[in-house]
Amino acid sequence: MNINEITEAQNPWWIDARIPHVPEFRRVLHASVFAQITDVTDRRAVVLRGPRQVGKTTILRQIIRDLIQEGWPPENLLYFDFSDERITDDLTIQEVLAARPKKQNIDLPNVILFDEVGRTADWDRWLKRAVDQERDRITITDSSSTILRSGSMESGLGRWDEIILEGMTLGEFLGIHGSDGISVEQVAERHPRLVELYLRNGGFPEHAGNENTMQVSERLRKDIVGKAILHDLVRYGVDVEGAKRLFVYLMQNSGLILNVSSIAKEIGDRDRRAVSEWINLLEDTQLVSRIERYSVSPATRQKAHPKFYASDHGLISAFSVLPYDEQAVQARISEAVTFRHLRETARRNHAELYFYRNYKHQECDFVWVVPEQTIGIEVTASRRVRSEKIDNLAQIIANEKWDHGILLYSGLDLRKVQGIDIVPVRKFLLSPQSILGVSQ
Amino acid sequence: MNSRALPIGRSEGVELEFKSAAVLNQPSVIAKEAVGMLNERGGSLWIGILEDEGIATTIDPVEDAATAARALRDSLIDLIEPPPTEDELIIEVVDDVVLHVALKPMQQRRPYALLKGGARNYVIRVADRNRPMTRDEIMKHFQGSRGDPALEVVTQRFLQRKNKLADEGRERFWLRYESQSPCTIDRQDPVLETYLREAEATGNRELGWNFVVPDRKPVLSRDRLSTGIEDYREVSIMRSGAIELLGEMEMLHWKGNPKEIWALTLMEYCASVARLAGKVYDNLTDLGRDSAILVDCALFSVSEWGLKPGSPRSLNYMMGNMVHYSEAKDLMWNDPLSVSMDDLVNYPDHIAFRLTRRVFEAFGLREDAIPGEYDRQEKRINWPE
Repeated sequence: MNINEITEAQNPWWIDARIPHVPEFRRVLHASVFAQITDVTDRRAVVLRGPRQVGKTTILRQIIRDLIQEGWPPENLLYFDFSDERITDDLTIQEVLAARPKKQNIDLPNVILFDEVGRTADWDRWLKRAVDQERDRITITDSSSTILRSGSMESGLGRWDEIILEGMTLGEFLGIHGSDGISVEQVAERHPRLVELYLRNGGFPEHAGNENTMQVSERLRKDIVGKAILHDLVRYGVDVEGAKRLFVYLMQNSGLILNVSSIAKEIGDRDRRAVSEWINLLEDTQLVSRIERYSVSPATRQKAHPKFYASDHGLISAFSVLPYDEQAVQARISEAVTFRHLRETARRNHAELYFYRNYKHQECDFVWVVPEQTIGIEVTASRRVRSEKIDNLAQIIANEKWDHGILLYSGLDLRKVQGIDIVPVRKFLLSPQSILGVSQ
Repeated sequence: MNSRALPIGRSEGVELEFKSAAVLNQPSVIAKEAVGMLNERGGSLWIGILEDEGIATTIDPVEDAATAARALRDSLIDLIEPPPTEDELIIEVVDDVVLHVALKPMQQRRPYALLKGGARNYVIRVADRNRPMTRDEIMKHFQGSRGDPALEVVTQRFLQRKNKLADEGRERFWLRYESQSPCTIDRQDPVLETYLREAEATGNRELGWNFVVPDRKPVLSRDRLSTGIEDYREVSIMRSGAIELLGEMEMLHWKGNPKEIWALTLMEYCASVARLAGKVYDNLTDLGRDSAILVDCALFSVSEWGLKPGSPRSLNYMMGNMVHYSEAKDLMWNDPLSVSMDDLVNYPDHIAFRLTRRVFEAFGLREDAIPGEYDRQEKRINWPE
């Protein structure tokens, strides 16, 4: 392995200031990352994390293109992807840095963009030092959540900002098809098929608009199982086949309250400890999202079994054995896509999210908690709202003394019944913040 | 099979023409020969016969001649105006492999025209070839025919509407259905709201390109019931019996280059309104299945808009260049198409295909450039799941 050759191949702009070819479409978070990199008064690095295929690498390459187009000296730009298949030996960040061009513009900082940085052992110590030296503008990415967190929890404070990138929201997806003066709500009304494509294919930028939905499902299965599970988890020396089986099970049962013993039995009498370990590793790939049970007591909260959702609803269609039109599949998709939009809104508004289940087995899909209010949110894929659903939610809200209830459904009309807001799920996905009454 | 004697050894002339089997791939060539004969005294067109110096020499077998005959009849009906009736156009299969097309013009229906590129082409047979008819010849033929006053009234109404919209100078797509004989529609019939809010009620795809607006109540006014999306599109069912879709050209754009008309979008919008018209006329009026329905479309201020050949799902589509309509600012036709109620109810996609073909031809694209999602045998659009 020749590190210089790999680095040069990954940084073709060093040779002739060549601008990399990248997709035009920009994720909403692109602007925040770019602004932070180019703000030379802010020494903090950016840590961009999210599952595979959500566009982290594309953001880095778009930033390189933008900087070159703005006249940034190409030799001051270093990009390195630590998951490059050509890397055969253990590699340190120092070796990569040593491969940079000798001649650089010393009046400007270096922009260092490290992709899948968790593949190298010493990244956190290096990042701490590099940020403290205040010389370079640094952005790193990784598709593994716990690796990044375990390394950076303490030393990261005050040194870097973490930005989480998931698959596209519905608004982001429709924005691709909009134009000046056309809102995403108008796009949704004019092209209902786009909303349907999004619900079916999920929010992975590469696949979202593909009308060949069978092909999307097949590609997602291949890419996710092939890369995120087989390729990424094999590093940990676990039984990859077992982890894969568990992953498929979780996708087919997205929204399930996790009971390790029963799952271990369901996927072929596996060892409980192994299943627990796989769950942690799968969570680490950020392809499944955990939600804890609501309780006013943190101790009870910790003891209760959590629920797991597919982090992107496209994974549900991709791994489902039932047809997309089946009510059960629609129900799982509706909940997963709602959870995805709630997570994003919760991050921006510092809200906490839970699910609710009481000793009478009364359930509410999500509980939104901010200091000012607590909202119970129930999701149904049905086009008509059954009165029992409303009664159940109203009762929970009264018993728990929450402030408000929202019932999301697949129908079209917005109304209020027994104090519960009945909201079309599509309307919620387009503007969760306005339905939840928060600012961003 | 027919036992008619093959014309081997006979010479082409004013009433006789020979064509190879391959000509079946170009129905407009056959239509032109047929129009030439219909505007003269009629004649016979043999397909599957090779000629040398105008003399029929050998058989050039037509594969699956019976199917080819049916397809040819459909094409000629679509390409010739007025569409030839069963008395005017008779197609027989001879010896299993040759098609005999007998053309018997009706004096009062002359002149016949070939519909091509958005225009009517009047040709007449002279000896063994065709030539364009002169202005005087066309006028003479028209004077010889007896025009239908009801048809004339509706045609004039279509024309006035088109001229008004053209004067507004906006980039818009327009589509209208109206029965040739007068009828009225009860705009307050509750089923109409269902038709306008639920795509499946008219046999349309829920997520297809259609006129439906599910979450809005249609607006009832003095002369119509309408629904739509502001600044985008509106469909109206008129008390007078007309059904009209009017929208921004933008509604025909889905993907691709800016101002690219997505052919499938065009075709499905046309089909969706055909389905609506079929349901409304069949269930809410007393029009019989043999009633004539007139349908027309127009694309206003269309010069910047383009069309690409083939199905967007094909590789050729990606490689193909966008073509533009350059003959005028607005793409519109003088006369609407005439279809039967029976066709409207049973083959709405075929009516959409005919309208699409009009547009394609006006853009200089051949019929085979129309997306293959339209199945010519089944006369319907097949959408992949």
